Amino acid sequence: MNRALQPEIHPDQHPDAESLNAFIEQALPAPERAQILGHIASCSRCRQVVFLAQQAAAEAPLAVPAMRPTSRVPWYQNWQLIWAPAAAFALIAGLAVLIHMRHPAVESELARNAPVGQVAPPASSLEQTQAPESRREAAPSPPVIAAKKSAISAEAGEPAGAALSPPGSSGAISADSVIASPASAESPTVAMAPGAAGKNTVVLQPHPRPQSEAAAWQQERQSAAGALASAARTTQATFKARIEQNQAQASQAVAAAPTVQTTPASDGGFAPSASRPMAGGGALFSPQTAKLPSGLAAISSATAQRRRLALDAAGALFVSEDAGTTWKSVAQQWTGHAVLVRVQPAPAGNAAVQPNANASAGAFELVTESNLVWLSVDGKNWKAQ
Amino acid sequence: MTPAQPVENLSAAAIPAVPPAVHPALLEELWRQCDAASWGLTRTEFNQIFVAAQRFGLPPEAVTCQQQQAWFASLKLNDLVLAQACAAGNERAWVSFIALYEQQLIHAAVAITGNDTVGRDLAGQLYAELYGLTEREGQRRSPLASYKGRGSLIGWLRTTLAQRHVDHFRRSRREEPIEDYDAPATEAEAAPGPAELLPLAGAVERALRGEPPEVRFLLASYYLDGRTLAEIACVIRVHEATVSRKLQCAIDGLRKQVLKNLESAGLSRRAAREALGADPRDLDMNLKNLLQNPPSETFQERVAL
Repeated sequence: MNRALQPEIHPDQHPDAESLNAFIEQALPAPERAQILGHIASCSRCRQVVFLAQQAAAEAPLAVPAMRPTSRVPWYQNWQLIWAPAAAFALIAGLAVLIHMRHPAVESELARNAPVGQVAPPASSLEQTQAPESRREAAPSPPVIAAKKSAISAEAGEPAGAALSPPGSSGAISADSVIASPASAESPTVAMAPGAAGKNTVVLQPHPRPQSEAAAWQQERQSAAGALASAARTTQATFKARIEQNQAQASQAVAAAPTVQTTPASDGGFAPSASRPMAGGGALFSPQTAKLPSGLAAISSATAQRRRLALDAAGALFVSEDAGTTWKSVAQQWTGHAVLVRVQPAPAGNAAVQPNANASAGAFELVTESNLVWLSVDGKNWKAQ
Repeated sequence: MTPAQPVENLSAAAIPAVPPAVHPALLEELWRQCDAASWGLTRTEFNQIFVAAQRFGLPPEAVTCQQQQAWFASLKLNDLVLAQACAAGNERAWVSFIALYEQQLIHAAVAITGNDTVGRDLAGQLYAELYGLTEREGQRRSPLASYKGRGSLIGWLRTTLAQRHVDHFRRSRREEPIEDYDAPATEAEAAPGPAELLPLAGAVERALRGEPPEVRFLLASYYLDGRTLAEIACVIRVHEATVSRKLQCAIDGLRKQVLKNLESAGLSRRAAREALGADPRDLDMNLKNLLQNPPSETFQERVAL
């Protein structure tokens, strides 16, 4: 600062503090400002005064009320407004996730897989329990081809798959191969029960069964394996040995983690999957052939007496009081995306689900993709289990 | 000790008895706006303040209420009323003044002097002056009476502090021993330079004197005072880049004007360009005097002291 303060004598008189301050604060009209500027251009003393006053103003504490800046903060510097775009972004992201989770592509894929086993399990449970190759074996194909594929997979040493051949014509192995997966105990359990009229009833149970049920199921499965082995013996001896080997492997896997439960039909065999109903009750009902009011294919259905429930690919539930002739939409009372509807299974203690007993009970269960189960007696009013 | 005399005595002694030119309705509105009652002013004192303020700058052509209202709207009325009330010796106004400006005054003085002790001394001296310790013609006068509200009161205080500091520094520097005083050398008789340098000095002098005030301010601030672009930009309220650009334009314009002056003095363009390449130290001219002592208008110091 001392460098700027130069001892010079100015004979001219100087503008007063009022004018210099008004010049600094830009409060002067243009002619007077030009006059002051002309003076300080030639007067080092006033120039120094102006610079020092300006320096003091710049170093003044901002917390003083009199020096509070009067200019408004620009809107783009207001950080409070950052919440608006942040909230909008979060909303968009949430909607995107929701739409992605409700995307119909998953349901359509499930619908394509439905005719094979007449099962429309949750996508998550399927992916947890079945290897891709195993699912490909369960694709809709002639039984012979399926048997070959199962044999090939067995030869390849797939640890998770075992093909069971029902006693059918010419020893063909059905596509209803039971895939025993070494999944963990948390994996949903799949119970396959044949119907009373030789139809299999497939019920997905998302909750793991207790060990006693697993032992009973293993005994039944061994008997079924014996029946299947005898049928295979009539057609091909070598193939039978492989099936038994695979069955033994499957039994070991099931004993470790009982995830699949199969109840053989009363006649000791499996019916072709195309004619197997989705739920108990004895009525023939194909979900894909049912025409629902939504226009989408049914991925799951259940029948109790003459009341029939159907679940389409979008997760909408429909009820029919006249065995599928007319349908009514059921308002969604459950949370999440419904993936399965079924007749309430028999009470604990029964190793397998008996369709007729379920039909007599008349209660329905609806399973969401988060494995939550909702109950309803009439199919219209639902409550969480 | 009491501060400077009350408003009634001050106005009776210093202000001629002229009828108040301020419109009564406007005066009533200003009374409400300024909230002068909170400072202990009576309505009579308030009216007297604006009678005095009218003398400070109310244009004579502002006769209508709207014109006067527009003029008063350009003033810092709150600061003006407070300063005038303090100058008149109103105790409640002084309490408000101390509460508002005492610390700011000290901060500004420290910032101006660059030293805490010197700054507090400077602020104390100014505070004593503002309180009215100085007497003139037997009456205590306060510099606050000269405040007319064109700028903020704190800005006026800063400028007053800067004036006091610069004046004190210049006086004290002149009192220093001669060996420490870096006085400018007396202008010795310059040796006659080459013939071509004489028209160059005249051309430069004419070019500098013909520059507008802003250009001369920029040149003096940057080259003579050594101010930075940021400091200059703060004063003229433009960006640093603008100051730099203006400086460059000023130098280019000066160069062209010097060339033109040389050509008008009879030199050819080539000779003029060669003359511009001469060493400035060979020129017999004082650029500081050229920049700082033009035949400009003078100002009347209207400080109350």
